[in-house]
Amino acid sequence: MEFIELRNVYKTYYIGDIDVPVLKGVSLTVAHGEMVALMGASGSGKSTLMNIMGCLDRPTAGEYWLEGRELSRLTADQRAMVRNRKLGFVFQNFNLLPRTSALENVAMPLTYTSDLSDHEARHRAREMLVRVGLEDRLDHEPSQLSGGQQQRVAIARALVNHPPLLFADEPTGNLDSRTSEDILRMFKQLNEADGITIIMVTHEADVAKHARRMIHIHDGVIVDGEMNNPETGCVDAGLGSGDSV
Amino acid sequence: MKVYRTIRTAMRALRRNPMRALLTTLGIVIGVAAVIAMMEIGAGSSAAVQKSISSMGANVVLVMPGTATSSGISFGSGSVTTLTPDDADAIRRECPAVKTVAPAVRARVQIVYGNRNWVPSSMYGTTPEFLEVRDWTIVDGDPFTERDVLNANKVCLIGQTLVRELFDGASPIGKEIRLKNVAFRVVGVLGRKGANMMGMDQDDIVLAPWTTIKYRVTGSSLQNNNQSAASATSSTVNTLSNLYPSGQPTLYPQQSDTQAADTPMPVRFANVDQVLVTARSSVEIPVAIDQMTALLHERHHIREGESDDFTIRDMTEMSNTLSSTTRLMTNLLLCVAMISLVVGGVGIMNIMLVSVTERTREIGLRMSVGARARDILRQFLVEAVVLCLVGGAVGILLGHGGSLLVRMLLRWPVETSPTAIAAAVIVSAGVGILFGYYPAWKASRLDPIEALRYE
Repeated sequence: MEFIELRNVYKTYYIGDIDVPVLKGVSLTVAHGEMVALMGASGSGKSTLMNIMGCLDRPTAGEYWLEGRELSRLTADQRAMVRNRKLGFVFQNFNLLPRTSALENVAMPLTYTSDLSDHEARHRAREMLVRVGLEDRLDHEPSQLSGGQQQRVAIARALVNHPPLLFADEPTGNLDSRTSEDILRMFKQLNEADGITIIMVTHEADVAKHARRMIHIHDGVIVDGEMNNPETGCVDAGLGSGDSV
Repeated sequence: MKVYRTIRTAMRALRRNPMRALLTTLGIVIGVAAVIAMMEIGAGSSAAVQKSISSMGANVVLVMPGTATSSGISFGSGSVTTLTPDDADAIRRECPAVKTVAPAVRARVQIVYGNRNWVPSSMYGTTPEFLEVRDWTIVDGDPFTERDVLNANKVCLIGQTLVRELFDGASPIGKEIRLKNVAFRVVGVLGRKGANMMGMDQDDIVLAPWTTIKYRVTGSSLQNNNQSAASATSSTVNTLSNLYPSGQPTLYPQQSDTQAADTPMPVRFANVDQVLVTARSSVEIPVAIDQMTALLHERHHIREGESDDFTIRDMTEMSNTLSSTTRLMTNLLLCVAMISLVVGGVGIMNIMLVSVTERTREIGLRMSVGARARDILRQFLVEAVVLCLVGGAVGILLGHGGSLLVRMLLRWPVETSPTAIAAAVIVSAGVGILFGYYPAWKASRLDPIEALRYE
């Protein structure tokens, strides 16, 4: 059994009487410990695919298996549980709580896990911040941090529950190239050293280069890289990036 | 643990925007402060009104002897001689709902001081407890004592009207006045009460030990012990009274004064004309009446089904006035309280709705890290409740401070009301839940994807 397996996933939005098909039969497998870049132009369906894999949304049809469990028919509360325990999210615009210290931002997901005491939660949050190199910024609020630092706080927050799978939605979109490099290096390190599976949504070929495998999605279907095949999943920047940059 | 954590999260969220939180709670603060201040001032004035009404005798219950009937002719209320001071003592001892008891005998005689004379409208022979029953104060001198009652000492207390009529406003303490030629020493002056509800001057009064009045002044004995026959005494003084058909028909031949003097009646009837009783509170009046009825049945050996030889009357009219006044005041305050709290609650709802819209991204984020709909609902609900409770607490302090200030500056009667405080806490939490629920529910219904994308 693969770590992630999508079988013939469809997603259709209903806007009034009009059906808008966004995903048209996506099948995909991702092995444990992979770092995958999900590429595609805007409107190609990559965000929808990420939302489904991130348990934020349900497919209209098809199956989604994560760690041997079929998730496409879960209730909202069950999906919340999966997000809390198995998944971490890093967003383009960081989404940190304003006027809240870095430490509290990182500890926030733990408030929805009832089995940790406050002391343990703070300890764990501090540990994570140390790991992303912000041990001297624990009590800083987001407004006192640079973009790169904010994104590192966001990464620490995503990791605080020790999820096996991390989603990054345009993680470097709001960062300059130097800090982007830092963040991507950190992803790489997390992937290699800690074995965290990372799925990164991007439309920049430069960013995608850091991943060992690229999946191109175009108009709701995967055009390239749908099988787990490390040899071909390398630099292949021609398809998705041209029209979106 | 979970609740504590939710409360802390809510506190943290509120601390992020302290100015807004402050302004939001202001509605509740003012509402609760107004409620508390109104309740305390209202309770104070209500207590003052109650006190003044009860000083008119609203709590007083009268126990009167029953009707004597002879050959089908009734002598009217109070004409049997079965009510005694011992009954009064027994009532005091054995009826727990009764606060004070004073037996009283009545008289109506002329008072002479120097070259002045006056007939007071009420003259009571009683015990010192009468002053407590009628809530009467002594403004000059001292009340007479139980010892005076036991010894039938010739001492009396007089009302303000008598001071004016007999003494021209000079202090009467220690002076001797004559009641039907018996010299009494004035030991005290009663405070001013003014007219009662019927317009009768309550200050036109003389109080003396009941033993003195009964045995030395009215000289109640076998011939004249019942009131209907008492007019016979005056007939000996005023011969004109026989000219008018006002008196009761004489059923039996009256003894002449000479006959009466020749056959002295050593029997002293220790009956009283009435017993004045106060209940512990106005609501306990019916209980007190039941207890007294049972006790007097037992003491007077009245069997089931036999007619009573006593009657008990309470001041229903006055106590009704009392309770309706209190109810009106309470309801009025309640209306004001409700309106101000609803206004405060609408303020809370308004700001919580704005807050939910403004924090849509935060809600999306919380959902994406695993918050369930009910976690979000609880968070926003707790925020609203915390706002309301903090506002309520501040309001209680402010309101209490305000009412203390009123007491200090305006000298209004104020009563701390723990029920008002408890109600304020419960109501402000209730307002928080009521008006915080809709915004919180709206927040929990958000779609995480939409919420995360919200700009």
